[in-house]
Amino acid sequence: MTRKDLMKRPEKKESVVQPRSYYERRIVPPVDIIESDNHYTVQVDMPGVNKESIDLKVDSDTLRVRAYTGDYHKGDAKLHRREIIPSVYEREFQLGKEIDRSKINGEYDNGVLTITLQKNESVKPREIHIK
Amino acid sequence: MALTRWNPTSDLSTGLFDMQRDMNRMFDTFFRGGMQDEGNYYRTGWTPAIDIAEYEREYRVRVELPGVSKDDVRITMQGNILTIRGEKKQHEDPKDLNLHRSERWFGTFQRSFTLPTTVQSDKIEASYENGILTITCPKAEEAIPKSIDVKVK
Repeated sequence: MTRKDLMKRPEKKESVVQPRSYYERRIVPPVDIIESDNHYTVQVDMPGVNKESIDLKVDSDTLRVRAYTGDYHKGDAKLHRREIIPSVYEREFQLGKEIDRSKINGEYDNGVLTITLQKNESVKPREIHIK
Repeated sequence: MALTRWNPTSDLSTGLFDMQRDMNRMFDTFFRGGMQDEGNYYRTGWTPAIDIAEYEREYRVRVELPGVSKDDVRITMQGNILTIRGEKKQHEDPKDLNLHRSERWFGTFQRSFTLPTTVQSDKIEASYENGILTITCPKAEEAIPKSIDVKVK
């Protein structure tokens, strides 16, 4: 490896969503994290995306959510008010050891992404029966 | 203006008291959410983002309402004023939940605005998809631009 190689920026990982023009903004969507006995529920408010464009990835200790809203105004519409700006939603979560990496589920409904993270068997509360 | 004797300690102490009062107020507003305080700072609630687009024959209004149930939204049209109000409900009582993080907003909202031309209020349609409410308001016939061919003799 030459010195030039070392100086190179790391290559961008391929991703479904990239901002497409300068007026698109990045949003850190608001989340609720709820713990239950057996799992964690993460709810992310991200209105205006298609289910197919949601990119949910687990990379050892991080869970990453990305999605692009797309631009709805095409053609000759005259905009009287514009508050919904084409955006890329992006948020990362650190996963603790207690989370079962193989059982992560995502569901998108009414603009809210709900991610369910199952806990490992070993950390689930267990009731002990007394004989 | 009368000449008064300057007392550095009293100046300093009133300054400190002022500062203490300000700090107390700041903490109060911060931790109590500012609702009970003097009214110079209070939460106005949630204002959903809105787009209003005009097309040749209609207006299309889009409202960002993630996690709002369709049944909890009311749309009214009075004259040219379109009003959208509703409530984003939390599924369960937050007291019963073991919440690690709570950033999402719940509660009531209302927004009104005036559309530039009259619309056919009986033909307004609304749909809700992916957390976006789309209201289509067809323009009244007289508001649609018409081109008339004028024959030149």
